[in-house]
Amino acid sequence: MTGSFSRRDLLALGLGAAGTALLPKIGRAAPAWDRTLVMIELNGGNDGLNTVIPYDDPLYAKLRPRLAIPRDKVIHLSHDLGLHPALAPLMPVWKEQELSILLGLGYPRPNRSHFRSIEIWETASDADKVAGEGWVADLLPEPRLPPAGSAQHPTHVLVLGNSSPGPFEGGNLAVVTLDRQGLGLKQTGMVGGGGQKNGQDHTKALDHVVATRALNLKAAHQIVPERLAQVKMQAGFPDGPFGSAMESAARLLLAGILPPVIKLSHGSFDTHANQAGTHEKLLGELAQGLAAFRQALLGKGLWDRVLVMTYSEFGRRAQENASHGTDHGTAAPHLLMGGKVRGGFFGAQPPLSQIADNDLILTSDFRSYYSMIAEQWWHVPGLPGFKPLSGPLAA
Amino acid sequence: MKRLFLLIFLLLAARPGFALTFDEARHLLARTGFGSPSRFEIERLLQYSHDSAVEEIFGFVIARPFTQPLSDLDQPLPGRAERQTLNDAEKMDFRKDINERGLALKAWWWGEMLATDSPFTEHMVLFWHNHFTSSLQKVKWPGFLYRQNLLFRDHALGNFGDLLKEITHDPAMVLYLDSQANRKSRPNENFARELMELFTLGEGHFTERDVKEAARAFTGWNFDPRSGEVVFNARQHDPGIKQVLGQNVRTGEDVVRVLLEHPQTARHLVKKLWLEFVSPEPDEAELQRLATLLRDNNYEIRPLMKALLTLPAFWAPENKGSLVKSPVDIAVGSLRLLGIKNMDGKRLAHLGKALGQDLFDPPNVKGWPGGQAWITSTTLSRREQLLRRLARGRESDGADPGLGAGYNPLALDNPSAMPSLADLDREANPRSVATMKRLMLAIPPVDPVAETGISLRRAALQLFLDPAYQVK
Repeated sequence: MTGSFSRRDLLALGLGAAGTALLPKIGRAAPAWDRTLVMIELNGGNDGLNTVIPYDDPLYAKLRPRLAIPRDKVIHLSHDLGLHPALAPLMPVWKEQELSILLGLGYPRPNRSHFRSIEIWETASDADKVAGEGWVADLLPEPRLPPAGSAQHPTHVLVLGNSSPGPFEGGNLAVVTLDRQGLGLKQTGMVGGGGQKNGQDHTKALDHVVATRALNLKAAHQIVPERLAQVKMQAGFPDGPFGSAMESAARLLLAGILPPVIKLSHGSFDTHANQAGTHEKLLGELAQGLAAFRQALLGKGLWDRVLVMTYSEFGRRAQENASHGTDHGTAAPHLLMGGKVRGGFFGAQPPLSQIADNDLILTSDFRSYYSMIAEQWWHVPGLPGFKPLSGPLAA
Repeated sequence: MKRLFLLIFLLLAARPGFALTFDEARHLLARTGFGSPSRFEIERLLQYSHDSAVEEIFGFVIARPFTQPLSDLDQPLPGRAERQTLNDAEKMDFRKDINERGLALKAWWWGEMLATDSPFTEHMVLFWHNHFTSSLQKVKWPGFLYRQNLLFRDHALGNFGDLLKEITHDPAMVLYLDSQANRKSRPNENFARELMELFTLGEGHFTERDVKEAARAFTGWNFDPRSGEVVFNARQHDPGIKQVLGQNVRTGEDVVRVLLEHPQTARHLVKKLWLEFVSPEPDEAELQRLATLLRDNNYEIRPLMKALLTLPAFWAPENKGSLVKSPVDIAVGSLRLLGIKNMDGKRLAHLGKALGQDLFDPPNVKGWPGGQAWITSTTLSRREQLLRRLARGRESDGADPGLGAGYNPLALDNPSAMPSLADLDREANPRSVATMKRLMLAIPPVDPVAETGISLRRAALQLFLDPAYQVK
């Protein structure tokens, strides 16, 4: 993090105690590494308004003359909010009260560029500040992280498939990228030597190659295809890249590999034109993938040790465009699931009567979402200045 | 003292008239082409000074493709009416046909890169493809992307202003960024936003209002499915006055003019070219100087590229090995290094995709981020896998003679000799391994390399698998 102290700097300076004294209690419990956060990035900006639907608001149908989901098709969850019908596979999770829906997440002065906005989400920065460090890298206090390379933690972060490592960059987290099948490492381990410096000044590019190779060699000893192949998986994961990545995530966990974070992506949700069919398909895959993932873990008692979160660079414009699609917007709801989650709605749905420039106004800052995960899932201090959202996770 | 020495070195290195050394010729070719030039290409440049070597590379630039594309690649899209009469089976066939054409298109470009006499042309075309991105996934009809690729060839070293004007009416671009849906009654902002954010000014140099107003100015330029062309539809055009960057404009052409007048456009482009060809850490003062040069030359690319490739920073020893090789560098460059020119384009396209660079299908409108992002644990192990197969002679159609193919790139002791496959299995000696290092790597290897007691093939394999092979 450029120009300011990161949380880790403060901890390293011995100010951690002072820092945590300002924050209530949490951070005193030992950090929890017996569990995994599964981050699902909805690439391209998911249309929140057609995901969690204010079906009772007449403005909804008015803003979405062609894209509104008809009231009788919406899965009613409360007197005013419901789910897109494609999310039906999530209903058992909702009924078990293991699905919480966090409403109106965003940040002030929203940026509508995909790249800038996802960078803001990845680095937990203000809209007008550029931070160099990802939020996970910033919050996970590496002196207290378990060392990477063990059977349970071959790495700190596993990225599955083609998914951005942005939240993990800039710190010293061990990040291993596997393909969607959870493979990609079997070829390493042949080259000898750990990449010692050969009396020359390495360029950053070369350092990166050397570090990546060293990580591969270390992880290769743990994430071996044989170990994954032994895991018996039931059917139910949807076809397609997202389904196969979710299946791999389940397989890794069932094989006893529980890195602090697994990350994968779904999309593209960038539905500027002819949104209805695409969005339905994407949400359907999301719901089926999540439901199958839960089933797979429930059987082995792992569901309590997993927290699944979704995020996306932005929601979409409240008003549909002329191409049967929606343009880049602002605040949106996100899903949190797991055995330890308390189900229900949390936060407030941004009212359609108070839209600014056809855009929803946030009701919760996404950084409070992150603080909640830090303090109530990992038991480490959250982001300074952002009080954890209360409710979905027991402190 | 060290600094003085460096200064003298740079002065000497940049001074025209001095013939290139082997290492310098290799560096120039590696950076302008695909990361690992063949010995033949390097030796051809040795007679030239720095300036004339750059001119020589420019001299090979060609506007027409080197290889013959599939004849039906640019066939027009069947009309909507025609497509609507298809029954289900015919629709399946149509989709299959589109997919096959898409793969054929990718295979053609990969093949072009492998076969061409001007890798620099391909590098520039690839740069433009990554700047003005469009993807097959969204555009669907391969013919449009082929056409766009030809546009990049026409302007590869031409005029940026002309290219920018052309791209606003390019069918693939219009379909990719939804200009298609940009109508007077409801403007679609997608193209206007990326035009400012990615193609010209860069993030932070325009407002939301500029995007909205520019979108209005571009209304009416829609794709006509009947003719397969982008045409101006006056009824869909918003003729009112718009304000873009504080200036009054009416048409998309006006917007392009305003963007070209803005100094940030040249800076943005110059920086991108620096990162692609020179180093990951541009010098701000030099960027400013080059941006002024670009504007003074009315956005001509050729003088700018000449200035970039003769910069002290381009030749500086500390910048050698500072760029990560792209998947195209690894795949095409390694094959060219080995003198293998017969690999199937489809196989290459699949390889490129596995390594993270699926040509004609960039990940999003920003293109491939490149740099260190090319190398993840997965892509690094896939790179190693490919290189291992190449060194062993197992990566081609049918029987692949591998390192012994054709003109021997590693003709170590006597360049005019062409060692047979068996020669490569003869024992290495310190001299031959030293030659191989200079040919294959931009910087010294990281791992110790055995020089005796192993075969030449094994020595080549070691160098391929050294982290130093991944940078240029």
